[in-house]
Amino acid sequence: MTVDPGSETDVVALLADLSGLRRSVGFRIPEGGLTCVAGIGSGLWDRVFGEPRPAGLHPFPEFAGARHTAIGTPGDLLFHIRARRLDLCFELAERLTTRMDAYAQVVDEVHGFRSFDERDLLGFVDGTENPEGSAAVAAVLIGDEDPEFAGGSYVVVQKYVHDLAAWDALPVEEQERAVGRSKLSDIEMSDDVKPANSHVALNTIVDDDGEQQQIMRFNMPFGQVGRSEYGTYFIGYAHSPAVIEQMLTNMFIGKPPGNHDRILDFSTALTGNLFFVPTSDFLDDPPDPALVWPSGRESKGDEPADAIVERDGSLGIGSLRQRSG
Amino acid sequence: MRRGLDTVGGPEEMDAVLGAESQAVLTPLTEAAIFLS
Repeated sequence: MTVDPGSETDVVALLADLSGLRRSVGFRIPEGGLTCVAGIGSGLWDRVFGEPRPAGLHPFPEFAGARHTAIGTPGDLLFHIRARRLDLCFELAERLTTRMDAYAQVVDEVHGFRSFDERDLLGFVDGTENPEGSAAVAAVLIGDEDPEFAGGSYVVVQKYVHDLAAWDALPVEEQERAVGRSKLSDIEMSDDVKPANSHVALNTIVDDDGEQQQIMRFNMPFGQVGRSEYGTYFIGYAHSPAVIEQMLTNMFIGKPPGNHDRILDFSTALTGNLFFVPTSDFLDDPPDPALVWPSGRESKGDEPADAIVERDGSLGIGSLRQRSG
Repeated sequence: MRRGLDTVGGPEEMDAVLGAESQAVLTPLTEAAIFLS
């Protein structure tokens, strides 16, 4: 979603009310498991919160390869709403957009569903390598490397549409070589068989110590059969955007350059964006934008002088907070 | 209990992040989703 200039105070008030809105919808059907994650884009962060800023937050860069490009698209806010029932998701989405109607616009809206065996619309199981337990925490949540934002995360989203007719025209064996896993049993190919341009090979990131860098994917299929639209909404969480951006570099530019992900010959990224995911504590009690000025930003002259406070490295939570509305 | 951690493990995982409650970023995949961006 994009947020109109001058609506910074409204955004802060909405974020502070988000947990209450989720409870109001979800409490009525507790078995529905309604959750909502809010992400904040780089531009909006600067407009609303300024310094200090999350170390890894920046505008989503374009990844342009010789044949395929991951584009960056506008987006100040992301809401990732999930439940066991779509009606819960829809109700919360409606509450949010109604509340924001006067100052924000939805750039992209995708309704995702869980398909058979956690399969995407290409017919392959998606998300098998998601980390679990303590590995999930380490992969997803910011830790001591950025202590002011510890417990937060980063999320990258891309909306892919597939040329399903062309994909389905491939023999299953060739599809499996594009993915790097068997289609029916979801077993990863051994390294001596797996093609270098397979999706699995290019998305396996190993650091200098030989340790695999993981992310958490909550991808979902979407589509409209009447429009022959068949897609996968990629959504990946990580403690740093660098891991996901390395994956996108490998996929689109290639590793080595030119060796792009074979799946991209059948899939097109229509959107792309990076968001910072603050902690719930931050959202429940955010700093007031009237008291936050990015470094170098000047007063417009219509603000009371005493409303501008130099940042001292704290988040301005507590005594500095003067939420309006 | 930290919302983001209540589905992934015990005290060891919860102790991994101190002082802040995460959003539900570790909740397992569920049946339906709406992505608003």
